[in-house]
Amino acid sequence: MNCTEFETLLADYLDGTLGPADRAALEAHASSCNGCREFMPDVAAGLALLKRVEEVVPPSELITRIAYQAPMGRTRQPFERQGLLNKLAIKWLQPLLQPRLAMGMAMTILSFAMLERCTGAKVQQIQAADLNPVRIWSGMEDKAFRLKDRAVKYYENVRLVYEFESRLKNLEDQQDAASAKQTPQKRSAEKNQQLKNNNAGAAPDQGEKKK
Amino acid sequence: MSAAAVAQLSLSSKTSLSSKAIGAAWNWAQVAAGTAQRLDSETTLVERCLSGEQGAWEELVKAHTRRVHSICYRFTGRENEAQDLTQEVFLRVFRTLGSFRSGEGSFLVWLTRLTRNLLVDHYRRTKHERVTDAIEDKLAVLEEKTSQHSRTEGLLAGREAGELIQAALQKLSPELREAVILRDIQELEYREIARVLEVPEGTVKSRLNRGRAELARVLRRNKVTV
Repeated sequence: MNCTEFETLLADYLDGTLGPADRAALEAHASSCNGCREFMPDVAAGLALLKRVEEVVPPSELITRIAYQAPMGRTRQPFERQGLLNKLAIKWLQPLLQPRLAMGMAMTILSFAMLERCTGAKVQQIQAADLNPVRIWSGMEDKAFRLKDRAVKYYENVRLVYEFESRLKNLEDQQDAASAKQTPQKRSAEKNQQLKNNNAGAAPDQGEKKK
Repeated sequence: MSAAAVAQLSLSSKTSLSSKAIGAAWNWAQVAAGTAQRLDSETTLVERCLSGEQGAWEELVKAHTRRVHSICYRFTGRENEAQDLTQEVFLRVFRTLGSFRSGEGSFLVWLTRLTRNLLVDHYRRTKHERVTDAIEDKLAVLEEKTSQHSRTEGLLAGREAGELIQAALQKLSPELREAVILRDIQELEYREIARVLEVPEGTVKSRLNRGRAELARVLRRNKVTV
Protein backbone atom coordinates (compact mmCIF):
# COMPACT_ATOMS: atom_id res chain seq x y z
CA MET A 1 0.00 0.00 0.00
CA ASN A 2 1.31 3.45 -0.83
CA CYS A 3 0.48 6.77 0.84
CA THR A 4 -2.14 7.75 -1.75
CA GLU A 5 -4.03 4.50 -1.25
CA PHE A 6 -3.73 5.00 2.47
CA GLU A 7 -5.23 8.46 2.22
CA THR A 8 -8.18 7.09 0.27
CA LEU A 9 -8.83 4.06 2.44
CA LEU A 10 -8.55 6.03 5.66
CA ALA A 11 -12.02 7.50 5.03
CA ASP A 12 -13.57 4.03 4.94
CA TYR A 13 -11.44 2.99 7.91
CA LEU A 14 -12.84 5.82 10.01
CA ASP A 15 -16.35 5.05 8.79
CA GLY A 16 -15.83 1.48 9.97
CA THR A 17 -16.71 0.04 6.60
CA LEU A 18 -13.27 -1.33 5.71
CA GLY A 19 -12.85 -5.10 5.31
CA PRO A 20 -10.47 -6.92 7.68
CA ALA A 21 -7.80 -7.48 5.03
CA ASP A 22 -7.73 -3.81 4.02
CA ARG A 23 -7.76 -2.75 7.65
CA ALA A 24 -4.72 -4.87 8.40
CA ALA A 25 -2.93 -3.51 5.35
CA LEU A 26 -3.76 0.06 6.38
CA GLU A 27 -2.55 -0.44 9.92
CA ALA A 28 0.61 -2.07 8.62
CA HIS A 29 1.27 0.96 6.39
CA ALA A 30 0.63 3.35 9.26
CA SER A 31 3.18 1.58 11.41
CA SER A 32 5.80 1.73 8.69
CA CYS A 33 5.23 5.28 7.34
CA ASN A 34 5.91 8.23 9.65
CA GLY A 35 3.95 10.75 7.63
CA CYS A 36 0.84 8.60 7.51
CA ARG A 37 1.14 7.69 11.17
CA GLU A 38 1.01 11.38 12.08
CA PHE A 39 -1.71 12.04 9.54
CA MET A 40 -4.11 9.51 10.99
CA PRO A 41 -4.81 11.09 14.42
CA ASP A 42 -5.16 14.51 12.81
CA VAL A 43 -7.85 13.19 10.50
CA ALA A 44 -9.60 11.49 13.38
CA ALA A 45 -9.44 14.66 15.47
CA GLY A 46 -10.81 16.72 12.58
CA LEU A 47 -13.65 14.26 12.10
CA ALA A 48 -14.48 14.37 15.81
CA LEU A 49 -14.56 18.17 15.67
CA LEU A 50 -16.84 18.21 12.67
CA LYS A 51 -19.24 15.80 14.35
CA ARG A 52 -19.75 18.44 17.04
CA VAL A 53 -20.92 21.06 14.58
CA GLU A 54 -24.55 21.89 15.20
CA GLU A 55 -27.10 22.28 12.48
CA VAL A 56 -27.78 25.83 11.37
CA VAL A 57 -31.39 26.83 10.96
CA PRO A 58 -32.24 29.47 8.38
CA PRO A 59 -34.63 32.22 9.52
CA SER A 60 -38.19 31.41 8.55
CA GLU A 61 -38.56 34.69 6.69
CA LEU A 62 -35.84 33.50 4.31
CA ILE A 63 -38.01 30.56 3.30
CA THR A 64 -41.00 32.84 2.86
CA ARG A 65 -38.95 35.29 0.85
CA ILE A 66 -37.69 32.59 -1.47
CA ALA A 67 -41.01 30.81 -1.82
CA TYR A 68 -43.05 33.90 -2.62
CA GLN A 69 -40.69 36.49 -3.98
CA ALA A 70 -38.24 34.57 -6.15
CA PRO A 71 -40.93 33.64 -8.68
CA MET A 72 -42.04 37.28 -8.80
CA GLY A 73 -38.51 38.40 -9.54
CA ARG A 74 -36.70 38.28 -12.81
CA THR A 75 -38.64 35.53 -14.52
CA ARG A 76 -42.33 35.86 -15.08
CA GLN A 77 -43.24 32.52 -16.58
CA PRO A 78 -42.03 29.73 -14.33
CA PHE A 79 -40.16 26.84 -15.86
CA GLU A 80 -41.18 27.76 -19.37
CA ARG A 81 -38.75 26.68 -22.01
CA GLN A 82 -38.55 29.66 -24.30
CA GLY A 83 -37.98 29.63 -28.00
CA LEU A 84 -34.99 31.45 -29.47
CA LEU A 85 -37.10 34.29 -30.86
CA ASN A 86 -38.93 34.69 -27.58
CA LYS A 87 -35.64 34.75 -25.70
CA LEU A 88 -34.20 37.38 -28.04
CA ALA A 89 -37.32 39.52 -27.77
CA ILE A 90 -37.17 39.35 -23.99
CA LYS A 91 -33.49 40.12 -24.00
CA TRP A 92 -34.00 43.27 -26.07
CA LEU A 93 -37.38 44.35 -24.79
CA GLN A 94 -36.92 43.79 -21.10
CA PRO A 95 -34.52 46.71 -20.58
CA LEU A 96 -36.88 48.97 -22.51
CA LEU A 97 -39.87 47.96 -20.43
CA GLN A 98 -38.22 48.79 -17.13
CA PRO A 99 -39.98 51.47 -15.06
CA ARG A 100 -36.56 53.01 -14.48
CA LEU A 101 -36.20 53.71 -18.18
CA ALA A 102 -39.66 55.27 -18.40
CA MET A 103 -38.84 57.49 -15.44
CA GLY A 104 -35.56 58.48 -17.06
CA MET A 105 -37.31 59.41 -20.29
CA ALA A 106 -39.87 61.49 -18.43
CA MET A 107 -37.15 63.33 -16.53
CA THR A 108 -35.24 64.04 -19.76
CA ILE A 109 -38.31 65.49 -21.44
CA LEU A 110 -39.11 67.54 -18.37
CA SER A 111 -35.59 68.91 -18.15
CA PHE A 112 -35.63 69.86 -21.85
CA ALA A 113 -38.97 71.56 -21.37
CA MET A 114 -37.59 73.48 -18.41
CA LEU A 115 -34.50 74.41 -20.40
CA GLU A 116 -36.72 75.87 -23.09
CA ARG A 117 -38.83 77.75 -20.60
CA CYS A 118 -36.00 79.15 -18.56
CA THR A 119 -33.41 79.99 -21.18
CA GLY A 120 -35.71 80.71 -24.08
CA ALA A 121 -33.71 78.43 -26.34
CA LYS A 122 -35.88 76.44 -28.70
CA VAL A 123 -35.16 72.77 -28.25
CA GLN A 124 -36.18 72.04 -31.81
CA GLN A 125 -33.59 74.39 -33.23
CA ILE A 126 -31.05 74.04 -30.50
CA GLN A 127 -27.46 74.63 -31.58
CA ALA A 128 -24.10 74.22 -30.03
CA ALA A 129 -24.00 77.96 -29.35
CA ASP A 130 -27.18 77.69 -27.31
CA LEU A 131 -25.44 75.46 -24.85
CA ASN A 132 -22.80 78.10 -24.18
CA PRO A 133 -23.03 78.83 -20.45
CA VAL A 134 -22.77 82.56 -21.05
CA ARG A 135 -25.68 82.41 -23.36
CA ILE A 136 -27.71 80.21 -21.07
CA TRP A 137 -26.91 82.58 -18.21
CA SER A 138 -27.85 85.69 -20.14
CA GLY A 139 -31.02 83.99 -21.29
CA MET A 140 -31.91 83.14 -17.73
CA GLU A 141 -31.00 86.67 -16.60
CA ASP A 142 -33.21 88.09 -19.30
CA LYS A 143 -36.03 85.86 -18.19
CA ALA A 144 -35.48 86.81 -14.59
CA PHE A 145 -35.52 90.53 -15.37
CA ARG A 146 -38.64 90.16 -17.38
CA LEU A 147 -40.24 88.29 -14.62
CA LYS A 148 -39.19 90.97 -12.16
CA ASP A 149 -40.50 93.73 -14.42
CA ARG A 150 -43.73 91.95 -14.76
CA ALA A 151 -44.02 91.53 -11.06
CA VAL A 152 -43.25 95.20 -10.45
CA LYS A 153 -45.76 96.26 -13.07
CA TYR A 154 -48.38 94.08 -11.55
CA TYR A 155 -47.62 95.47 -8.14
CA GLU A 156 -47.82 99.01 -9.44
CA ASN A 157 -51.10 98.24 -11.11
CA VAL A 158 -52.40 96.73 -7.95
CA ARG A 159 -51.27 99.81 -6.00
CA LEU A 160 -53.00 102.14 -8.43
CA VAL A 161 -56.19 100.19 -8.23
CA TYR A 162 -55.96 100.11 -4.48
CA GLU A 163 -55.33 103.84 -4.31
CA PHE A 164 -58.32 104.49 -6.51
CA GLU A 165 -60.43 102.24 -4.42
CA SER A 166 -59.33 103.78 -1.17
CA ARG A 167 -59.96 107.29 -2.50
CA LEU A 168 -63.33 106.29 -3.76
CA LYS A 169 -64.08 104.85 -0.38
CA ASN A 170 -62.91 108.04 1.28
CA LEU A 171 -65.17 109.99 -0.94
CA GLU A 172 -68.06 107.76 -0.19
CA ASP A 173 -67.34 108.02 3.52
CA GLN A 174 -67.24 111.76 3.28
CA GLN A 175 -70.50 111.78 1.43
CA ASP A 176 -72.04 109.53 3.98
CA ALA A 177 -70.83 111.73 6.77
CA ALA A 178 -72.22 114.79 5.02
CA SER A 179 -75.60 113.20 4.48
CA ALA A 180 -75.66 112.06 8.11
CA LYS A 181 -75.14 115.69 9.20
CA GLN A 182 -77.81 116.86 6.79
CA THR A 183 -80.45 114.47 7.91
CA PRO A 184 -80.91 115.74 11.50
CA GLN A 185 -81.08 119.33 10.17
CA LYS A 186 -83.66 118.23 7.69
CA ARG A 187 -85.66 116.51 10.37
CA SER A 188 -85.70 119.53 12.68
CA ALA A 189 -86.68 121.69 9.74
CA GLU A 190 -89.54 119.36 8.98
CA LYS A 191 -90.60 119.44 12.63
CA ASN A 192 -90.58 123.19 12.69
CA GLN A 193 -92.62 123.22 9.55
CA GLN A 194 -95.15 120.89 11.08
CA LEU A 195 -95.31 122.93 14.26
CA LYS A 196 -95.80 126.08 12.22
CA ASN A 197 -98.55 124.36 10.31
CA ASN A 198 -100.17 123.21 13.52
CA ASN A 199 -99.95 126.63 14.99
CA ALA A 200 -101.41 128.05 11.86
CA GLY A 201 -104.30 125.53 12.09
CA ALA A 202 -104.91 126.28 15.77
CA ALA A 203 -104.82 129.97 15.34
CA PRO A 204 -107.93 130.15 13.16
CA ASP A 205 -109.70 127.94 15.75
CA GLN A 206 -108.72 130.29 18.46
CA GLY A 207 -109.75 133.11 16.25
CA GLU A 208 -113.09 131.45 15.67
CA LYS A 209 -113.51 130.84 19.37
CA LYS A 210 -112.63 134.43 20.05
CA LYS A 211 -115.21 135.41 17.57
CA MET B 1 -13.02 -35.53 14.39
CA SER B 2 -15.60 -37.63 12.63
CA ALA B 3 -16.80 -36.86 9.15
CA ALA B 4 -20.30 -36.17 10.43
CA ALA B 5 -19.06 -33.61 12.88
CA VAL B 6 -17.08 -31.85 10.14
CA ALA B 7 -20.11 -31.86 7.89
CA GLN B 8 -22.27 -30.39 10.65
CA LEU B 9 -19.71 -27.71 11.38
CA SER B 10 -19.43 -26.73 7.76
CA LEU B 11 -23.20 -26.69 7.47
CA SER B 12 -23.64 -24.48 10.53
CA SER B 13 -20.97 -22.10 9.31
CA LYS B 14 -22.69 -22.05 5.94
CA THR B 15 -26.05 -21.27 7.45
CA SER B 16 -24.62 -18.51 9.59
CA LEU B 17 -22.86 -17.10 6.54
CA SER B 18 -25.97 -17.29 4.43
CA SER B 19 -28.10 -15.74 7.17
CA LYS B 20 -25.57 -12.91 7.39
CA ALA B 21 -25.71 -12.49 3.65
CA ILE B 22 -29.49 -12.44 3.70
CA GLY B 23 -29.45 -9.87 6.49
CA ALA B 24 -27.03 -7.68 4.56
CA ALA B 25 -29.07 -8.06 1.40
CA TRP B 26 -32.24 -7.18 3.31
CA ASN B 27 -30.59 -4.10 4.78
CA TRP B 28 -29.32 -3.07 1.40
CA ALA B 29 -32.72 -3.62 -0.15
CA GLN B 30 -34.33 -1.50 2.54
CA VAL B 31 -31.81 1.30 2.03
CA ALA B 32 -32.25 1.06 -1.72
CA ALA B 33 -36.02 1.11 -1.36
CA GLY B 34 -35.79 4.15 0.91
CA THR B 35 -33.53 5.93 -1.55
CA ALA B 36 -35.76 4.98 -4.46
CA GLN B 37 -38.78 6.30 -2.59
CA ARG B 38 -36.98 9.56 -1.84
CA LEU B 39 -35.89 9.87 -5.45
CA ASP B 40 -39.42 9.15 -6.61
CA SER B 41 -41.02 11.76 -4.37
CA GLU B 42 -38.38 14.32 -5.36
CA THR B 43 -38.87 13.63 -9.03
CA THR B 44 -42.63 13.91 -8.67
CA LEU B 45 -42.26 17.18 -6.81
CA VAL B 46 -40.05 18.55 -9.58
CA GLU B 47 -42.54 17.39 -12.18
CA ARG B 48 -45.35 19.06 -10.28
CA CYS B 49 -43.32 22.25 -10.22
CA LEU B 50 -42.69 22.02 -13.94
CA SER B 51 -46.35 21.54 -14.66
CA GLY B 52 -46.95 24.79 -12.79
CA GLU B 53 -48.93 23.28 -9.95
CA GLN B 54 -49.95 25.70 -7.25
CA GLY B 55 -47.96 25.20 -4.06
CA ALA B 56 -45.41 22.77 -5.51
CA TRP B 57 -42.70 25.42 -5.67
CA GLU B 58 -43.36 26.39 -2.09
CA GLU B 59 -43.09 22.77 -1.05
CA LEU B 60 -39.80 22.39 -2.89
CA VAL B 61 -38.39 25.52 -1.26
CA LYS B 62 -39.50 24.43 2.19
CA ALA B 63 -37.97 21.00 1.71
CA HIS B 64 -34.54 22.20 0.60
CA THR B 65 -33.86 25.69 1.99
CA ARG B 66 -32.32 24.38 5.19
CA ARG B 67 -29.81 22.24 3.34
CA VAL B 68 -28.82 24.91 0.82
CA HIS B 69 -28.55 27.57 3.51
CA SER B 70 -26.43 25.29 5.67
CA ILE B 71 -23.98 24.58 2.82
CA CYS B 72 -23.76 28.29 2.00
CA TYR B 73 -23.26 29.28 5.62
CA ARG B 74 -20.60 26.65 6.26
CA PHE B 75 -18.79 27.60 3.07
CA THR B 76 -18.84 31.39 3.45
CA GLY B 77 -18.97 31.68 7.23
CA ARG B 78 -21.24 34.71 7.02
CA GLU B 79 -24.95 34.63 7.69
CA ASN B 80 -25.98 37.51 5.41
CA GLU B 81 -23.90 36.16 2.53
CA ALA B 82 -25.37 32.72 3.10
CA GLN B 83 -28.90 34.10 2.90
CA ASP B 84 -28.18 36.03 -0.27
CA LEU B 85 -26.56 33.00 -1.86
CA THR B 86 -29.42 30.73 -0.83
CA GLN B 87 -31.81 33.09 -2.51
CA GLU B 88 -29.60 33.18 -5.59
CA VAL B 89 -29.47 29.37 -5.67
CA PHE B 90 -33.25 29.11 -5.65
CA LEU B 91 -33.58 31.77 -8.27
CA ARG B 92 -31.30 29.69 -10.44
CA VAL B 93 -33.25 26.54 -9.60
CA PHE B 94 -36.42 28.36 -10.59
CA ARG B 95 -34.97 29.30 -13.92
CA THR B 96 -33.22 26.04 -14.78
CA LEU B 97 -35.47 23.41 -13.26
CA GLY B 98 -36.47 22.44 -16.77
CA SER B 99 -32.93 21.24 -17.42
CA PHE B 100 -33.10 18.71 -14.56
CA ARG B 101 -33.33 15.14 -15.83
CA SER B 102 -34.35 12.56 -13.30
CA GLY B 103 -32.40 9.92 -15.21
CA GLU B 104 -29.11 11.67 -14.56
CA GLY B 105 -29.26 11.39 -10.80
CA SER B 106 -31.19 12.58 -7.83
CA PHE B 107 -32.56 16.07 -7.46
CA LEU B 108 -30.52 16.41 -4.29
CA VAL B 109 -27.28 15.90 -6.20
CA TRP B 110 -28.43 18.30 -8.91
CA LEU B 111 -29.34 20.96 -6.34
CA THR B 112 -26.13 20.47 -4.38
CA ARG B 113 -24.05 20.73 -7.54
CA LEU B 114 -25.83 23.94 -8.47
CA THR B 115 -25.21 25.34 -4.99
CA ARG B 116 -21.59 24.30 -5.04
CA ASN B 117 -20.97 25.86 -8.45
CA LEU B 118 -22.52 29.11 -7.32
CA LEU B 119 -20.40 29.10 -4.17
CA VAL B 120 -17.23 28.52 -6.16
CA ASP B 121 -18.18 31.38 -8.51
CA HIS B 122 -18.87 33.58 -5.52
CA TYR B 123 -15.55 32.61 -3.95
CA ARG B 124 -13.63 33.51 -7.10
CA ARG B 125 -15.51 36.78 -7.48
CA THR B 126 -14.94 37.94 -3.93
CA LYS B 127 -11.42 36.59 -3.47
CA HIS B 128 -9.86 40.00 -4.06
CA GLU B 129 -12.28 41.76 -1.75
CA ARG B 130 -11.19 39.71 1.23
CA VAL B 131 -8.11 41.76 2.02
CA THR B 132 -8.39 41.52 5.76
CA ASP B 133 -8.28 38.10 7.25
CA ALA B 134 -11.47 38.10 9.25
CA ILE B 135 -10.97 34.53 10.32
CA GLU B 136 -7.71 35.25 12.05
CA ASP B 137 -9.42 38.10 13.90
CA LYS B 138 -12.28 35.87 14.91
CA LEU B 139 -9.92 33.20 16.12
CA ALA B 140 -7.96 35.77 18.08
CA VAL B 141 -11.09 37.24 19.64
CA LEU B 142 -12.51 33.87 20.50
CA GLU B 143 -9.21 32.73 21.85
CA GLU B 144 -8.96 35.74 24.10
CA LYS B 145 -12.53 35.31 25.22
CA THR B 146 -12.09 31.68 26.08
CA SER B 147 -8.56 31.74 27.41
CA GLN B 148 -9.54 32.79 30.91
CA HIS B 149 -11.91 30.01 31.80
CA SER B 150 -12.31 27.35 29.17
CA ARG B 151 -8.68 26.59 28.58
CA THR B 152 -8.35 25.28 32.06
CA GLU B 153 -11.57 23.34 31.82
CA GLY B 154 -10.38 21.66 28.66
CA LEU B 155 -13.48 21.71 26.50
CA LEU B 156 -15.23 24.75 25.09
CA ALA B 157 -18.95 25.30 25.32
CA GLY B 158 -20.95 24.03 22.35
CA ARG B 159 -21.71 27.34 20.69
CA GLU B 160 -18.20 28.70 21.00
CA ALA B 161 -16.75 25.44 19.77
CA GLY B 162 -19.07 25.63 16.80
CA GLU B 163 -17.95 29.18 16.06
CA LEU B 164 -14.32 28.18 16.30
CA ILE B 165 -14.74 25.22 14.01
CA GLN B 166 -16.63 27.45 11.59
CA ALA B 167 -13.80 29.98 11.69
CA ALA B 168 -11.20 27.28 11.17
CA LEU B 169 -13.21 25.90 8.25
CA GLN B 170 -12.67 29.20 6.45
CA LYS B 171 -8.93 28.59 6.55
CA LEU B 172 -9.22 25.51 4.35
CA SER B 173 -8.86 25.75 0.60
CA PRO B 174 -12.25 25.63 -1.15
CA GLU B 175 -11.64 22.10 -2.48
CA LEU B 176 -11.00 20.68 0.96
CA ARG B 177 -13.70 22.79 2.54
CA GLU B 178 -16.45 21.64 0.19
CA ALA B 179 -15.50 17.98 0.62
CA VAL B 180 -15.61 18.27 4.40
CA ILE B 181 -18.90 20.17 4.39
CA LEU B 182 -20.64 17.76 2.04
CA ARG B 183 -19.51 14.64 3.88
CA ASP B 184 -19.19 15.49 7.54
CA ILE B 185 -21.86 18.17 7.87
CA GLN B 186 -24.31 17.35 5.09
CA GLU B 187 -23.63 13.61 5.39
CA LEU B 188 -23.86 12.81 1.70
CA GLU B 189 -22.63 9.50 0.29
CA TYR B 190 -19.18 9.45 -1.34
CA ARG B 191 -20.89 8.50 -4.57
CA GLU B 192 -23.15 11.55 -4.38
CA ILE B 193 -20.26 13.88 -3.48
CA ALA B 194 -18.30 12.53 -6.44
CA ARG B 195 -21.22 13.45 -8.71
CA VAL B 196 -21.60 16.87 -7.15
CA LEU B 197 -17.93 17.74 -7.48
CA GLU B 198 -17.52 15.79 -10.72
CA VAL B 199 -14.35 14.02 -9.52
CA PRO B 200 -13.66 10.33 -8.80
CA GLU B 201 -14.65 8.90 -5.42
CA GLY B 202 -11.00 8.31 -4.51
CA THR B 203 -10.31 12.02 -4.92
CA VAL B 204 -13.28 12.85 -2.72
CA LYS B 205 -11.97 10.62 0.05
CA SER B 206 -8.44 11.94 -0.14
CA ARG B 207 -9.63 15.58 -0.12
CA LEU B 208 -11.93 14.80 2.75
CA ASN B 209 -9.14 13.35 4.88
CA ARG B 210 -6.80 16.19 4.08
CA GLY B 211 -9.53 18.65 4.96
CA ARG B 212 -10.21 17.01 8.31
CA ALA B 213 -6.52 16.88 9.17
CA GLU B 214 -6.03 20.49 8.10
CA LEU B 215 -8.93 21.59 10.28
CA ALA B 216 -7.43 19.92 13.34
CA ARG B 217 -4.05 21.46 12.57
CA VAL B 218 -5.47 24.97 12.12
CA LEU B 219 -7.01 24.83 15.56
CA ARG B 220 -3.87 23.35 17.06
CA ARG B 221 -1.74 26.01 15.40
CA ASN B 222 -3.93 28.65 17.03
CA LYS B 223 -3.48 26.83 20.33
CA VAL B 224 -7.19 26.33 20.71
CA THR B 225 -8.43 23.32 22.61
CA VAL B 226 -11.88 22.51 21.41
